[in-house]
Amino acid sequence: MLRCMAANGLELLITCSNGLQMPDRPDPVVHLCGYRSVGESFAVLCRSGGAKLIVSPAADAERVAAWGSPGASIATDDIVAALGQESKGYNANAGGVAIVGIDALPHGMAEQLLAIYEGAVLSFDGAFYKSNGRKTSAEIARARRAAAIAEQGLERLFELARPGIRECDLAVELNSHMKSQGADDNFLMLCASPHNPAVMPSSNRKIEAGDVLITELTPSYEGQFVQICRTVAIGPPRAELPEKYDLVLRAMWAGIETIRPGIPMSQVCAAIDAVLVAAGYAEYCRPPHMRRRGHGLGSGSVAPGDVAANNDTILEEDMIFVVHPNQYLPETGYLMCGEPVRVTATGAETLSRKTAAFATLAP
Amino acid sequence: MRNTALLTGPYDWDPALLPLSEFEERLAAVRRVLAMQGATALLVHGNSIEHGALAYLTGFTPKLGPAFALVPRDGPIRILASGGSGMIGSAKLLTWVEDIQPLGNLRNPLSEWLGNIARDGRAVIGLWGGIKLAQRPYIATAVAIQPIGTMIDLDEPLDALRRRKSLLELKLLRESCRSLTIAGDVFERIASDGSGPRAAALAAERAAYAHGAQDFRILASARSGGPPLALDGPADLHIAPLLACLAVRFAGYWSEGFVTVAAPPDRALVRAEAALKAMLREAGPGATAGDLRRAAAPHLPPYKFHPMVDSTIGNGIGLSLEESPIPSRNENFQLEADCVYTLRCGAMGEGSDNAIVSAMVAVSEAGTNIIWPSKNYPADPEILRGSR
Repeated sequence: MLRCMAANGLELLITCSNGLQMPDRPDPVVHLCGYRSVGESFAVLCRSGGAKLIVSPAADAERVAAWGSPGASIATDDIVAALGQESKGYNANAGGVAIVGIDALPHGMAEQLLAIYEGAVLSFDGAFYKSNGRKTSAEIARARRAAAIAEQGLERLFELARPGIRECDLAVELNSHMKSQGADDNFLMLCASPHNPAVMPSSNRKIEAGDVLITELTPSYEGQFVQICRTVAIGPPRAELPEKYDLVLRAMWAGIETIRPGIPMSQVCAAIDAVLVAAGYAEYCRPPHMRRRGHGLGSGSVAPGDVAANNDTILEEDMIFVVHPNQYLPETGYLMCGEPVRVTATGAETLSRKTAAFATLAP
Repeated sequence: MRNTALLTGPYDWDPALLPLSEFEERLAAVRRVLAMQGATALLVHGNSIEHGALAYLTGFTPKLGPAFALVPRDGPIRILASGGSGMIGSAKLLTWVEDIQPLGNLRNPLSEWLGNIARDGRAVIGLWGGIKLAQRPYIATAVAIQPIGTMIDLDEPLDALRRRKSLLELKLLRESCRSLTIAGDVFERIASDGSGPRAAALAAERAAYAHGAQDFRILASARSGGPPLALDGPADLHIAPLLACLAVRFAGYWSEGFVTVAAPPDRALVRAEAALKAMLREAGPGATAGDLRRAAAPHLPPYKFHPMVDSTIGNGIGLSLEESPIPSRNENFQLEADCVYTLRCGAMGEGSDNAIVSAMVAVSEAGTNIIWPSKNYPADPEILRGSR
């Protein structure tokens, strides 16, 4: 990052977090220093090598002190004022300051920050994440653990998903189960109906025989999210379901088998689309039916970004992302399959041990 | 409290708990404020971090990103919700409002709606719930409003409406407190049995959900007697004394309580409880933060005020965990009638010799009711004092 700052003529880098860590949205504070703040926070890096973490709330003082070296952090209820005090020692001109992640801050805080650093560079986000899009060995280990937890969550789903249970109660129980396995958060979408228009957050609706249950289980382990996407028939499936699911699965594997270092992400998307287009579903490979075929996995950097036709990010070894065709088809509704993958020296490794297959549960 | 990536509990609007008539009364009150403020229309913002204002008016809980209720002075409300068009069906279950549209890029759907509102000339558009509105949607909002009028912040007059709790809201808050009690009891039992805070938290969470909670959050000590913090990492060693802050949401309404799990007799806990009791005896309409601190102070020595509660002895609570105004260090912050507060007191000694306790109170001119007690507190309802 220091080299990247030097190349861009920056003296000071300020990264901002709103304290909401998500699987598909980057958190630059987490990416820069690994700290997951409860409230808004700044991580500040000077080209001279100095660094400071300023977090809220003040009550988090002991947590942040335990995380970092003495003097490297401040916990306060007014992080902008604290940054303003710190900035007096930074001696950086306006053009030499870049702010990353300001869009996610509450606007009042963002305006205060811009008042301190008038003229700061606000277009450094791309370079910031691009400078290191590979996961570290520690992040990869966490991703493997998160993938194992997701699969344990799926096993629990197979035990519990029956007619009569509410979607939200099932989601809550899966969430609790994955927490008991070590997950610290979860972006857990789960819904069911005979014909799903999309995957949605869980409602109070009771699952019924004849439903198609779709879910994305997205546990985070020590801040690293991983996602698996699955489809489960509640009771004997309609004849077309296994057939169409096989099509979506083939599309997913076409994408995964395309992955290797040096290719643009758009090629992965194209490989998935090609299978579905060949089957006559070109119309469903475009918005509003389709926006992306997967995405990077945070909560720090989400490089290499979306598995999308317009993403020309070049894949590198040890990048991690989820490939999920997740396709709406008029005959079946929305079908989900998705695997987290790590880019290897020669291809891709799926992080899940038991990959997606159409599942049927007895009603 | 740590934010969660996606809310998963039972959030669909339940008219049996919150009937349409309650929302109609709220909407009428909000529109009276709009008229007094000279506002043509109102934008009510919420996101998954903070959505108290949006929930107050619509019952809607944004799960996937920002959402806005678009409220004209007359006529139906529209909600713009994050998520694709295929997700609108799920969003509709969360609210009594019938007109739900995808938020999209925000600017276009907002401009379209504002164009109809401001057909007759310049408009004044109120914004409510903007405290956590992120920079990007704020700019989109400002850009959409700029051609047709001006934007004014209506947080203060409208927050005053939702601070005052109706009888129905008090009932729901009491239900929330009941879930909190159940979760707190489970937490204390598991933690006392030698388990770590993580296992105790998980058991408490399950108990809260089993009793109808929508959400459960917790902070707990990371060392003996340490302040309640977000739980990090899978390690789960037994900790004693264990200080924790638990929060439960039921039908949109939060309850929050601090507990200290320690083997008796715990001197810090005894002092903290005595100080809190003294604070509660003073907690009537018009009591200031300074009054409450002064009431508590004589009961703490040789302990000091715990630093975690020294700066904020409590706050309003309801559809948000912290309802404005936040007392912070403002000694003149006054408790108001018909509002609900969580009040805290803590004793800090040497090393691990610390305790924090709290209570939730419903303040009224007729007296103050404790609606959530830490252990050793009088059962609900307990009228402590009349109006000042």
